[in-house]
Amino acid sequence: MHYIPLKSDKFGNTRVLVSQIKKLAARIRKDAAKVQADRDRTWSLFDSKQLGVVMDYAFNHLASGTDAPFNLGQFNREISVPDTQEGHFAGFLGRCLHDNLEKNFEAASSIMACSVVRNSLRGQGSGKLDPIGEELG
Amino acid sequence: MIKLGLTHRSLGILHPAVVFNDELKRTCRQATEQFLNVDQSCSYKHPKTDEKCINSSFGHAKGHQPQDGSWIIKGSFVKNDKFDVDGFIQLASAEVERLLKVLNNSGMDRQYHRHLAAAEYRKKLRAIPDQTFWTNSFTRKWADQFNLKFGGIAGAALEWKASVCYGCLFGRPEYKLPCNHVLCSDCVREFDESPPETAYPGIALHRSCILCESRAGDRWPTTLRYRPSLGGIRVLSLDGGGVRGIVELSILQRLEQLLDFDMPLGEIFDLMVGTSAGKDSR
Repeated sequence: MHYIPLKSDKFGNTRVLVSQIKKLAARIRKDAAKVQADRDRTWSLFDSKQLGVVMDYAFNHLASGTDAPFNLGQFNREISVPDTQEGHFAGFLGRCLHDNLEKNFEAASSIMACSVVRNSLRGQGSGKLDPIGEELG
Repeated sequence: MIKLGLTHRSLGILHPAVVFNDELKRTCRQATEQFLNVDQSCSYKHPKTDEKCINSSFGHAKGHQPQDGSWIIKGSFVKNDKFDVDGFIQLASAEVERLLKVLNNSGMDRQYHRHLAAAEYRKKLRAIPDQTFWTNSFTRKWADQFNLKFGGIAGAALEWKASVCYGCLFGRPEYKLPCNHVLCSDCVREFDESPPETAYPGIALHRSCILCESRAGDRWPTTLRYRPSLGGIRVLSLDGGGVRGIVELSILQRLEQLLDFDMPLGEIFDLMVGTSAGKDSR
């Protein structure tokens, strides 16, 4: 939201302000086109649904009054459910190994291995598992 | 298709080369590379100020930048050599082999194997050395600040959306637990803790979160309603047509009386849609 007063002693008259807003509009359009081209090139354009969610987050971030910058790339990843198995694994690694690379490295590989085995055991529609009160040693 | 081909059906046993086949290994490798490019921060640290660059390889166009988004110095992404992709895949491969050996040696049926594998998964989650990532998010700081300011206003509190079911890493996250972690329908069923005598199709009982072990508060234990195996999505579709809308309402009312389910008929449906007068009938 940008408000330009019709009268102002401090910033000049309406003609000056209108010319300034034209420059500002041109600059916004130019930068928006550049960002769009960059996102297009890197296959990271938002669709209209994602854009709504990201904007919502961006305004909430602004309203929180935090000094930290808004990380658009991060939200782009967080708001979309991965389409591929690779995305699911990468999502888990991103979370488990964030700032914990050395500590959780082995555990992450072990969990991924176990998930692969569990998935291989799932048939068409998984039913309830009856408790047997026993675990692997 | 992958799922069906994962077991060595001819022999009736689980074979590592089939379960963790080349395609899945390639998927794991690509996932680690995606993680390294998108999530892994640059290892650069300013020699004098000790400021750390937090940019990933994917977002390093501006050079080295700290958490506050300012600029440290120009430079390329500094890779963290501690993550060895080949070593990671080898570790996973060895673990798959070990697990399958245990399962095959148990000599039990697939249901039993599934139970053991689920128990093992749970145990592995418990064994993660640093568990703080389940409750901490690197975006949470500003969200907490937001909730502190506006959380009391109806509908304003921020909640985090899960994009992966961490209960299995395969399913789509659908069922939210009181701690805000989200599981897929398979995991809801596989980690169901309902006692056998009270178990009921379509309802799962979870006494704690399998991920963060949260169990405190009056929202635990929690019951989750899932779609039974033979159940579909139940939709009530109502036509329009002015006064004819009243006819369908009368029919529904009569149905409700005849069925005598001791609950409103609308409770049976997952979704109710209508056109014109049908829309008002909802």
